[in-house]
Amino acid sequence: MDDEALLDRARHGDRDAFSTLVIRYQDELYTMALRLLGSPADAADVVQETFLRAYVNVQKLRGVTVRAWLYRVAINAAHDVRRRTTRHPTMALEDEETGVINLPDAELGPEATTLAREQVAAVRSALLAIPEEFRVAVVLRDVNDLSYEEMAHALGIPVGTVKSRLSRGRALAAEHLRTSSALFAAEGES
Amino acid sequence: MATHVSSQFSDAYDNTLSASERRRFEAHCETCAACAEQFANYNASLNAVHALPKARMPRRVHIPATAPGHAQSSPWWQRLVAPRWATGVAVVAAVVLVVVAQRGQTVPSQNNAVSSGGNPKVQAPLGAAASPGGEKASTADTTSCGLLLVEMPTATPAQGFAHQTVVTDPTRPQQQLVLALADATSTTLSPGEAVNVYAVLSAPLAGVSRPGSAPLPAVAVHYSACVAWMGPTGSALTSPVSASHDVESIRVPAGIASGTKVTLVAQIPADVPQAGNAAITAALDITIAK
Repeated sequence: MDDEALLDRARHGDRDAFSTLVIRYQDELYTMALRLLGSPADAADVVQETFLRAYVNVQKLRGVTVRAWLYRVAINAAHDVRRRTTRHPTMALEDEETGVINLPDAELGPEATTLAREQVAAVRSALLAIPEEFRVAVVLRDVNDLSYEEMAHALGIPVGTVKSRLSRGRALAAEHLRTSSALFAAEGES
Repeated sequence: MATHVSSQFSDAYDNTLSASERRRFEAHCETCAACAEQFANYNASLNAVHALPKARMPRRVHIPATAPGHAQSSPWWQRLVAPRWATGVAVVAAVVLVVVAQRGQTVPSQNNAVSSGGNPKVQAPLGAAASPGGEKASTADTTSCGLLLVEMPTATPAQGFAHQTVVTDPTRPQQQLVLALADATSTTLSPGEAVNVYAVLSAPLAGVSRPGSAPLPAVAVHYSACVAWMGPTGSALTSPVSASHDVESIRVPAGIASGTKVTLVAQIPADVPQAGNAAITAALDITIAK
């Protein structure tokens, strides 16, 4: 059943339909929130907040896809969580890997695995170092694979502004990673 | 360092340059080493972002007891239902999320939970311990029993633990309350020992699929049980602790004489997952070691 059909059923009181939407989107929304906020606990709070808000406001969705709507709710929730939390982003890869489902290949040797972990840490750090406005654009596009149109709906801005923020965010991320030995040592070896 | 075509890097990466723009971009990179190098680094950086591992939501998502988008005159947190069994247990947050799954099944109201295996005792609702005792390794919210745990990848409850009991209710035969010691090698445990307990009510949920397409596999919806330790006379040794994760670490009560028989009890409160459901209880007999 597609998203719109599920949402329609949810609007008519079908909690199972809404649960299916939760199952379908919770991981990608968690991934987005994790890359935005850097904290697994905050990211989980964002996802919980997102679906609670969506549940309550399910009648109000009009004119956008369910996916874009959920992302919009999640982005707003991430903003709210960041404002009220006193937690600080953790840099410990161990925190993140409890929820990561695509760990470095078990067939890699120890050296390659270490390099892969360092690369992940470098990219995480670079994302968190760029201003939020641009970080959101990079995460939505390059982590969550949203289209420009979905990003525009999720952010409530024109596609042109999406592209502008994305371009700036990517340039900043690339600049931060330019000096990353973990990243470019791996590239040099490939 | 600004270069001649850096403003086009993002479009070039996304392949959204027009054909003529693309030709000019590539022609420039062929003659400008700085741009070529910078774009190569740019590509590598974004590829690394794309390669970031995907993450899985580590906690279950809880949704309210009311219908989705139900017309509300009060804030959503005021409409959350507290478990009726929680009398005597301190409610920390004053709100509890309880989900009533609607699967089109009518469940006749009955008052007896029947055990199909393990300990056949029928337990009263779990309440606070009469006297302080035991330790809780878990910090789980005691008001969270019966919470819907949304995602489970299989239609059947996880079983196969060496020490477990499975309880069913004939009024809802597809549902099973499984209480198990997840890692213990025996049911003889030491006072104060931390044990991993699995206490979950599993309710199969048929897969939802688009009409005309292959049906999606069924999944199981899990509901968290509360667990507590009971003494030989049935008195509560510990206050209930919510097994809000599938496997929860709790401690055997301390200060109990060797050889004493105690009981680990798991309970799903009444009206979970549907109004009219009786409470369902499972129990494991444990012997206190030296």
